[in-house]
Amino acid sequence: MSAIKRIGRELKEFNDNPLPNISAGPASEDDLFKWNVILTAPPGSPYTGGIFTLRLELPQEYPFKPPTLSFTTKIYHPNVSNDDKGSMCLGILRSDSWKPSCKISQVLEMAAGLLKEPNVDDAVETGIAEEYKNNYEQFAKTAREWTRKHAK
Amino acid sequence: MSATSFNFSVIVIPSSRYGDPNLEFPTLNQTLSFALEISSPNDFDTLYSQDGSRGNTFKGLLYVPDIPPDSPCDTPAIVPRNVTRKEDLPMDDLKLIAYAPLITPQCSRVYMDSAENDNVAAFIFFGVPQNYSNGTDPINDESYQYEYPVYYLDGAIGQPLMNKLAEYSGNMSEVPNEASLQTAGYDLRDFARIYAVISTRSTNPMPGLWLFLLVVVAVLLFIIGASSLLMHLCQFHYRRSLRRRIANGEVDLEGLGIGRITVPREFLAKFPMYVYIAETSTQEPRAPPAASLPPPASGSSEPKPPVTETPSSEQPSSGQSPPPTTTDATTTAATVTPTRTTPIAVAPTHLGRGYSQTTCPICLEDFIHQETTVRELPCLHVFHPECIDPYLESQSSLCVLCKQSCLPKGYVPIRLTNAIVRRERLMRRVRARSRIASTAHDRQRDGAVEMAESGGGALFRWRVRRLRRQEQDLMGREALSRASLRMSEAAAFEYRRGGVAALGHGRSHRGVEVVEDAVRPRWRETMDRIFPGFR
Repeated sequence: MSAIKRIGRELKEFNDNPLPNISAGPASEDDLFKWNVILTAPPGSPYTGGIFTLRLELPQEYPFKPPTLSFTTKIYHPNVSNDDKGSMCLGILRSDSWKPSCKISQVLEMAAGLLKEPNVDDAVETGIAEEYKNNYEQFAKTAREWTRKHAK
Repeated sequence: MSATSFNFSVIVIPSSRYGDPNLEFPTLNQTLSFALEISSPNDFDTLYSQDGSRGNTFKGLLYVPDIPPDSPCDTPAIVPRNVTRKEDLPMDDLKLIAYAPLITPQCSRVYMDSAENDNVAAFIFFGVPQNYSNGTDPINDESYQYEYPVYYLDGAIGQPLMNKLAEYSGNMSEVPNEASLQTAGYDLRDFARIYAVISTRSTNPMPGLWLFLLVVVAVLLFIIGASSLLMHLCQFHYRRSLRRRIANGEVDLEGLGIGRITVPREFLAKFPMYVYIAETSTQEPRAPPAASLPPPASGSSEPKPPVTETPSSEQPSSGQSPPPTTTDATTTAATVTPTRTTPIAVAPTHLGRGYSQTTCPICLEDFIHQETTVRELPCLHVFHPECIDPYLESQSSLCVLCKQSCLPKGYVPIRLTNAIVRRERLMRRVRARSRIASTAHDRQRDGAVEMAESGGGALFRWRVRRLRRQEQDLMGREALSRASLRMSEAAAFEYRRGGVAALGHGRSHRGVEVVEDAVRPRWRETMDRIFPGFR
């Protein structure tokens, strides 16, 4: 099966060239389609010091269909839905713009990048996005609070 | 039923054929006898009329019913002695129309009772209303118990008619103008009698109303049918025009977002397949390496030999240039190319065209120089055939890298439905609008629809909303059909629903909502069938 082959290759590549602040791997040996990801928030953001766990799910049609990324740690972020799913909204993960040449490591890099710089134009939580744009102090305060509460 | 006209004429009953009531009797030459037509409503009246069970006309031989000879009603001044009586009629079973003067109600009773015993179709009274105590009513408006209708004729017409009835009571030798009749060829032994026809019309207004309703329904049906036909013609025209535009390559089918468009195997087989030649460096910008290597066994499904458009004389130069360690394609690829699609202007690639690719973007395996067989899509991107073929066959017709369609121009891979036609038309309009609007609202980001909405009129906004609804409709139906098609697909869809629903993207949201109400009521399906393109 090509998906397993490809995922295995990506996993190997990822382990050979680990990304800073990101550790990831399949949740279990048997199921390569579910990955657990741990993001250490980069410095210079309201999330600094937080450790966020994410779940990366790869569809059976991978790499033709995009993976989905969701936060299992609660986070106050314009691009992460504020519910029990914690779905992350990434432009490249949308099915019409997804390209099979995009690797998991790139997706994770992008996710880490969003922690540093949220994409308010493509927000899923428009309220948070508005706050980020208009009242950054308040946003940063809440984000720090949530990080302290949930991500430590 | 009220009378509309009275018609009296003289008919000839042949003496030889006496007794056959079913014969049509000829009319006596009218110039030599007489004929009377009364159609002016002032001259007659309908006194008692029965229901319409007897038909619309009453016909019969005119006669005066018998009354006892000593009756005071027997007035020879009004009813001549030789008037046509029951016994003067040739046969018993003919229909009769009784005729009598209005004298007194008692006399009317006597006449009517007498007529009741005969085979009477109708009764005609005549008289002068002023001379008669009851106006025209023969029986004092008591309860009417007779089976036949009763009509009234004005005395000015009625009395001469009574006299005529006296003239035509014997055989033809006794009638006026009998000499002329004989020369005209009539047998004088035959009988001449007065025949009456009373035309009536229904007094019941209902049949007229029913007719009116029927006409209205018929007109409505006609209008519905005509507009349905018109709309079908319109849709047919639109479909044909869309097909033509697709054939001309003016329409991006994938852009319409309808269903899943795949590449049929026969097209797939036409895409060139050849052995990968690693590009060497930029030193030979225009020299295309000639892949004259025989296709490996794995490419046996492809009967076509590797594409060799280049003269073989150039082959050695390119064949020598790569370092001997050709197996490692990454090292030989002098231009480190990202896997993203970045056309490099100077880079000569495989067979001198296309992009510089060193790995298959699907499995991320490197292509091996002179060993790997690659499939080239029309957009010039190359892949392992085993990676790209199943995808194109089952998932999409777009190149995974540049999203360009791999289908030949003019190929119409789907059945063009009215919904697709509508969608395409509206999309085109939205796009046209947004082009206009975008010049004004430049900073407004993304979304032709939003832009058009802010720029367009009310009608256009409504149409855009409708487009959205249709889009939902399409997505929903597509999802449904897919879900029912394959269980795994359904599972995947569920998964997507769960995963994406919360993402909050308008589009995904809509796609999800639609699934619930994608099943349209039957009446709307029918409506759509009758009036396509009307929603």
